[in-house]
Amino acid sequence: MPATEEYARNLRSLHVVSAASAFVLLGATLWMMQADYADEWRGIQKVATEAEAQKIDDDLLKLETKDFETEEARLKEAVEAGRNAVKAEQDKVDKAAAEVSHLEGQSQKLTRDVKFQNAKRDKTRADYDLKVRDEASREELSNYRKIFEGEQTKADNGALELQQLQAKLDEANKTLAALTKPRDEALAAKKKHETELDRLTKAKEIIAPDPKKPSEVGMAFKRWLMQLPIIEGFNGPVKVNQIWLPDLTVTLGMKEAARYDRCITCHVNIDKVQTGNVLDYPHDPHGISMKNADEYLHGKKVRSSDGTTVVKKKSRVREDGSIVGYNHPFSTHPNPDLYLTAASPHPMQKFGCTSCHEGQGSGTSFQNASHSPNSPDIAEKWHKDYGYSYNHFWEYPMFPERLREAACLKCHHNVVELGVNPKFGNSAPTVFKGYELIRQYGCFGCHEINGYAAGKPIGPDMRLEPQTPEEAERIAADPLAVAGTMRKVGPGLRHFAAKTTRGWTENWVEEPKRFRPETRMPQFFNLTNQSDKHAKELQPVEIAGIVEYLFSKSEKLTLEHWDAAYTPDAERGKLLFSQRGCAACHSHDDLVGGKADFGPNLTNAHQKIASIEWLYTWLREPTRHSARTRMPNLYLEPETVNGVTVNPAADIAAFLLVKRDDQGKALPDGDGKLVHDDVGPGRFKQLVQPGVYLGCTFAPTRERTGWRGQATDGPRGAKVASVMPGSPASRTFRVAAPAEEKGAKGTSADSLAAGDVIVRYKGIDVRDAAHLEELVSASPAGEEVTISISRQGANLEMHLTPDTPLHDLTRWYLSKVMTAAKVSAALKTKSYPETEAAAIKAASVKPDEIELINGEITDETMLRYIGRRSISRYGCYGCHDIPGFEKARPIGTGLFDWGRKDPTKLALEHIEEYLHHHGEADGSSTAQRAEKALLNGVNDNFDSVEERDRETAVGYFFDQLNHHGRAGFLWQKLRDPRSYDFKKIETKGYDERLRMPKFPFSESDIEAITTFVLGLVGEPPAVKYVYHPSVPAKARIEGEKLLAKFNCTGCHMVELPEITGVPEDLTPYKLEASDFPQALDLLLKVRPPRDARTTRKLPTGEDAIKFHAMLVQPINPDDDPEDQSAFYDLWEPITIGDKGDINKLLLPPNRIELKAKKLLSQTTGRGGAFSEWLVDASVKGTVGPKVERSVAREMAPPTLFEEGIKVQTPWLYAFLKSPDRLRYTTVLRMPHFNMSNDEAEKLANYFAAVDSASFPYQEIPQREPQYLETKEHEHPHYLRDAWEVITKAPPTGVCAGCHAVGGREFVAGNDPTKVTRGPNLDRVYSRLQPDWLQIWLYNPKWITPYTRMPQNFVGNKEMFPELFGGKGQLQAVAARDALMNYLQLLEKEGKATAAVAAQPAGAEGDK
Amino acid sequence: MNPHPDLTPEVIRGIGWLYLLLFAMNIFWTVRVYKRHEGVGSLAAWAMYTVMLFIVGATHITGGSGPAHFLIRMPTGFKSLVDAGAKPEIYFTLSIALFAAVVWFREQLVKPTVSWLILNGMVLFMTLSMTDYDFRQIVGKPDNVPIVSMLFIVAFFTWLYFKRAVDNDQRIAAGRPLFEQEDNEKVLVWPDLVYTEMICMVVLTAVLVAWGIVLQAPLEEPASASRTPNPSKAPWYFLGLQEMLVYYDPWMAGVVLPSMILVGLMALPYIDFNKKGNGYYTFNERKFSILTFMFGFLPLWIGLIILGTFLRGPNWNFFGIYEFWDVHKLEVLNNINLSEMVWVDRLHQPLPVAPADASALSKIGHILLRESVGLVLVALYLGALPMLMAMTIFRRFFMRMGFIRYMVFANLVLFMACLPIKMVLRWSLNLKYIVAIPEWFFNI
Repeated sequence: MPATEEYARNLRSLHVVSAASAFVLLGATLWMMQADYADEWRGIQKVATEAEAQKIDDDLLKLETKDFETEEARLKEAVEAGRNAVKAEQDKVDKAAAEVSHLEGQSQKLTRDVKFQNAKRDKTRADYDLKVRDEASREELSNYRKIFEGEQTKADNGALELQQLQAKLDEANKTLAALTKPRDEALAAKKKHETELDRLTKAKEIIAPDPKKPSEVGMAFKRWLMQLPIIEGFNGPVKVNQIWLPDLTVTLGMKEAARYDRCITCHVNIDKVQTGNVLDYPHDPHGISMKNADEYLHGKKVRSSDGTTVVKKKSRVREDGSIVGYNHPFSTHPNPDLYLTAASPHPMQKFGCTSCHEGQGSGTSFQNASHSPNSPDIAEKWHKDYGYSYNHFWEYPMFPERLREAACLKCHHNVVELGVNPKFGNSAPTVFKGYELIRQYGCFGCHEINGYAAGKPIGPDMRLEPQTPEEAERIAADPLAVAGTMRKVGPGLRHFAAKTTRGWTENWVEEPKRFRPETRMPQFFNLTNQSDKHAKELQPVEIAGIVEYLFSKSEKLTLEHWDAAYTPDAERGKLLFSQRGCAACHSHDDLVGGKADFGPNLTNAHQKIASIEWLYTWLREPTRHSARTRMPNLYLEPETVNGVTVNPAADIAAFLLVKRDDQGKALPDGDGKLVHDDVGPGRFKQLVQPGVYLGCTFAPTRERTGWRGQATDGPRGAKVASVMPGSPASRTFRVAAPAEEKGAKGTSADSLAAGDVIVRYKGIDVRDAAHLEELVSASPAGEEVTISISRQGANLEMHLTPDTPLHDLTRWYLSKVMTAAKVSAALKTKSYPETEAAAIKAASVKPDEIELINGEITDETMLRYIGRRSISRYGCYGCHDIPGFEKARPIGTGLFDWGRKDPTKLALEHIEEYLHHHGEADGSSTAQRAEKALLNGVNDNFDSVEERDRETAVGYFFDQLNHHGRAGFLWQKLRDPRSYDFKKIETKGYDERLRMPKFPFSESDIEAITTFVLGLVGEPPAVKYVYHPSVPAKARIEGEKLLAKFNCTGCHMVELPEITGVPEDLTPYKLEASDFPQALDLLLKVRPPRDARTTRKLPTGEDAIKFHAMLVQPINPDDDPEDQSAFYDLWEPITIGDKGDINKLLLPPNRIELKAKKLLSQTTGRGGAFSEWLVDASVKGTVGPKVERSVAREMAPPTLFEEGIKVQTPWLYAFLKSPDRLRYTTVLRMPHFNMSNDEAEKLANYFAAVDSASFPYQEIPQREPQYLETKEHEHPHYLRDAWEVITKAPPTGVCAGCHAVGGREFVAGNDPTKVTRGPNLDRVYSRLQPDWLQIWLYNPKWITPYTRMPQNFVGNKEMFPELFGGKGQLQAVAARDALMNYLQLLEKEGKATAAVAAQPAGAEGDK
Repeated sequence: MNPHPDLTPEVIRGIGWLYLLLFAMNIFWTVRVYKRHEGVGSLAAWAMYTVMLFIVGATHITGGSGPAHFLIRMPTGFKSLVDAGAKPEIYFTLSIALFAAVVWFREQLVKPTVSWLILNGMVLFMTLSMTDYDFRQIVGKPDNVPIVSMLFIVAFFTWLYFKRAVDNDQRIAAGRPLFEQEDNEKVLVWPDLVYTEMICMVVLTAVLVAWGIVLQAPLEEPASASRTPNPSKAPWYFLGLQEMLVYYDPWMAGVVLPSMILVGLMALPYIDFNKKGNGYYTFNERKFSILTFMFGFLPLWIGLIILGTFLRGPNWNFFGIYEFWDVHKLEVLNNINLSEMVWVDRLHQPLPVAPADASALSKIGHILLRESVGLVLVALYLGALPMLMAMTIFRRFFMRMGFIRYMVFANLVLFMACLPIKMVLRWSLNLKYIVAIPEWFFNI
């Protein structure tokens, strides 16, 4: 190549280009660094620091009060004065100081010498030890020991000297301190006063040092330096913060990885709380955020009126006086009692953030953290503000606010503690509601929620209990298996035929809410995927089949009948219905005000129940009809009192079956007497069964068919629109063309298809579709006919066998288990093929075809077969006990890990298209509703908060559905389960259609259930994170489950109303003359007073108190509003002063008046709605004679308040298993629940656990020989005398006046109406706890304010002077001891024989 | 948030910028037309077109009307047509046809105005297609940006080659010296070459850095053996190989054919006996080599990369460029092996299977018997066909090359041809494998 001196390009311009490109590269590099440095979180941390500095400034300002300054000045002066005082004696001080200094010097030297000497000594000892090891000679050893001893002596001397010197030094110090005392004390006081100031100033110095202050210049420089790029990497103040959780792993692509939560990098203040768990940065949605921080921190430049520019900051105080709080990411986590703080159950350093919230913990930007908006309008806002978009790559996006409680289930497998918790209350209301709904509606009947994998707990467990004894045995034998505990939620149908008629049942099955609008039974038929013609033809067959199966399989039930001579009285039945507790679970429109939805509303029971004998039997013994029913046996035995026999069950049955009009109002006869409804379920007719049909739908025919020989002047024939698989229309055979004809006709499988026009049927010209259907229905079933069709202009002849839907459905189902030829043969010969029948007989779990193998196959057996098939298909046995389905498995998808279901596996089908045009109850479009919600959300255009919540929820779930999210799928599945079949039924077999029924859920119910199911992830964290309740907590949880299961709270109040307010007059308790000091001591020991003071205040500044009490007189709305008051009886000892201050004590039954305007809040208590209703009704006299409120309370089911310290758990267990009659004052008895031993045990333990009592056994020291010996020693014949105390006959005796005691029957006084009969005392020894009993004996009203049991042993009145020296207190103790040793004493002292004399009206009664 | 926002204001603005880019390009062209005095009519047409682009672009960027009123979209009819034709066979046929057309009309295509119109057409097509949501999803994916630019780069270099080659061919025909001889402007390595290269390097680095900042690499889901992404795609430069997997056994598509490509490329200098075309562009003097290479590179390599990137969607199904990638779309894949065609369909016999207790030898025999037709065909293809070609179309080649060189050459050509052959067989006969011996992991 010849070299030339010329350059191709101008070198100068090349240099320029080169330089430019170098600058471009430099620019790109700098840009890269800037882009890398411009992380969101850096800005956030800087602003957060400024906000913190501002907050410190605010706090400092708060300190700058006048008081503070005055005090400061005063202290300053004091310091000055002190200094002066010291100065006055400066000589002495100097001298003392010099002395101290001198001694200090000596001391230091000596200390060092001693230390050195000790080292020397240690060495000589070690040398000696080495010689021992080397087995040196005795002399040598002795030498070495001598050396050691010499050194030891020196060391000892040194130590002694040091001690003496130290003493001198102390003395000198004391002298000096005494001299400088005035100054030192003043300084200390000043320092103390400035503690808070110092703390704040120091805190501020660190985060925001002021470079103008000389003292802070160094700090300011350091801070500035450490924030520079690159240098900041060396532990600068702005940095990524993270929580490392190696044990709380996150599953990434099937691999468990340690969790890194960097959320706190931006959420800097999330755990900042002050003492007393006061939030440092309370959340305020309109508070300081990244967007507006500048206005609050630096302010805006504003031109003021005089033309100067001033910087104006936005005020932190709003016009209404409220303080502007902090928005995300600056706010502190709410509820520090429960979250984040070290003392809470979920400390941040242990649990991190994403273990509950989900999201990508390692992400440090808004987008990477996978935040989830609560609704699409928020997403829109985030999109604008933060460039947010949905990141579908991260498998665990954060839970949106509405679903956040789902996370609790990961560790809280018992669920109940989230809803009912003594410390935290209902801390997760949504997920708890979801749990309750699933429990009530029995979702687990079809969708098993298995809480165990290989015996290890993985989540909430909701499974049906074992259905057969074999299954129970198998589970019991398997150490890894845990049996389910849930009962089927529907009534048992094993003896169903005795209860009602087929007509009623068919109507019910078709659409339950038609008969009972509030029923929990879901709807299986007439839903969106059964609105086509095919479904209309097949559905009645299925329903009739189900009913036929239930009735024909129903087992015989022996019915009870009342005495022939007895005439049931419906009027009395109505009264008994209320009195005997039916209304605790059932509503009845005749009962005003009583609402209970545990059982069904019974107003229209007369339309359902076919026989009063059945109802009578059911009431007498519910388990006879249904072994696992939760309906208890209410002991409705006939009773004869004063010659009058009352049979409550018969009366109630008569009442329930009274003739009523359509509105449920009773229709009495002419005399006003209630009469029996004779029609009963007879009014419901069975569904009309479809006749012979073709199984195709028709389209309107518009074109001319051009059929040979036909008039072509108008449309003729019926045009097929669709053909249902398995129907006669799908089984048409074309008459073979002559060329192929080989004797057999109709072999060409060319069935009727959409578009074909049927023009002739059996030789008759078809006018239109209606005409054709007429002709078909007139044909005999199963007979082959010839039809002519026109197909695309060609004319064909076909053979077709019209039949009934019943036969076709049978044929269709059978074709799934055997060949078509066999099916035809079986139906022709009316007998099931033998080999197949034998296989069925041998099978352990019988297939549904078992209905067809015995005897001839008739229409009836086919119907039963279809019934059984339908029950299997729809899973009726998930809720009901049905004969023949004992071994059947749940039909639905298991839900234990549904919350992690792969979204690509969700069968969304055409749901988007469906919701585009349908989806709402009124038929309108859900898509439009969601669209509107989005628009209204963006423009903040909702009418109310409720509307916002409701509509944005729809928006959220709809959006989720569009994103193929689980939450959206579930939401729509619960709203309209069959909508996923939209435009799918056309390409499915009839039996492949979706079958989940529609439940009567509200939108909020659906949200709750969705939350619960999404929380089922089947991914338990490491064991230490799973909530393992303590033994009492576990007992509470189990008990709560049972309270709900058996509706205990329907009758009993288990938590008293809690009232907060400022009572009018609070008179502290004073020990009265009648009370013993020992009694009070015991009371305070057993029921320690609760501190009733609160932090709440009235607007007037008065401090409110909080107490548990029963309302005795409600507010009278007719009173002058100023004077409106409610009265309460206090039920618990409370104190309104410091602990131990006996003068601030309030004891039951303190009656408290509370003015309406001074009442801050009150709860209704928990449970006992029926009891309260009954009390009110008794006071009003609507159920039985009018009575006083306290009497009414005694008649109602008792409040179970502090039951745990009252009764002995073993007794409670036995009582729950078999309740005996305790009280005679109540009309109703504790019923016998259908409870297992395990359940009774758990419930008994529950009550003890609630009151922190020991369980399951309590000590009864009064029975210990040691105790009795001591007593005997103090008082000879102790027990005999004690026995005397309790068995003394009236009038002198106290117990026997009201109680049967010592085996002596209770005898009423002269006026039976005025006598109330107390409980027998023979079970006290096993029932009551001694301490409780003792208090009860001392002063019953301390425990039950309304009780009529009097205070028998009083301090100011002598009783039984011959016993215990007449000392009441000793007698009370003796009475308790006697009662606790009752059986032994009865044996020893014998029956109390002295007759009980007629006595004056006595007041008594256990509570 | 609407998961499928059709046209957001941002998208419309982006499209506006594309129009402005086109506008800027055409200003340059209009000026060129003016300077070259190409006629008033032509100048007016270009000027009007340019102004129109500006108006359209400016309206896009400043226009206040919402997406609902947006009018300039790719016509639905066109989109449906494109989507309806989205089948591999049509795509492949069209790409061959395009290739043939480019070669055939090369002299017209390299004319500046025609080239410029084609470039305009390409950009306009992209711009209009951007109004379609599904197109945007594919093209706008940060991963796919290099592939889009590759389209333009490949087109440019192909154009450059043909421009120079056509020029030289015309010179040769007219007896004029070659462009390379006439324009013999030799330059110095330093500073001309090295300096320029360094500047290019620096600028390219800066561009890459800027690209890295602006278009962040997408962070996708954590890797999981149980949940692989759908579709699972190879890196873009291997998509052609991945496409071969549709038609061939992994052993063949992943090992044999790529090896042959490498071996073939290495063998080129030894096979090529045509001394013409050294050091200068030409087409006419090296038709066979250039067509063979271009066929292998353009339709079979670049074409398949485009297919793999833009047209293969979930479940490796074929989607139109305007079609939603719906995971529910199904395609029928009822393919059968040649042995089945022979034994079952033609001879109405079951496939030969050795009895369970047969000896190993007998088993081998049965397998070979079963696949005999395919084996014979393959043997004929690789053994007999070269001979046949040597006697007919490659007679001249055979004479010049000698036996060994010819056999290597012929086999390489046949290996290249086996991909389109198998594709055609698949589409026409639903042929799965010609030789299918899964027992030995040997399928062809």
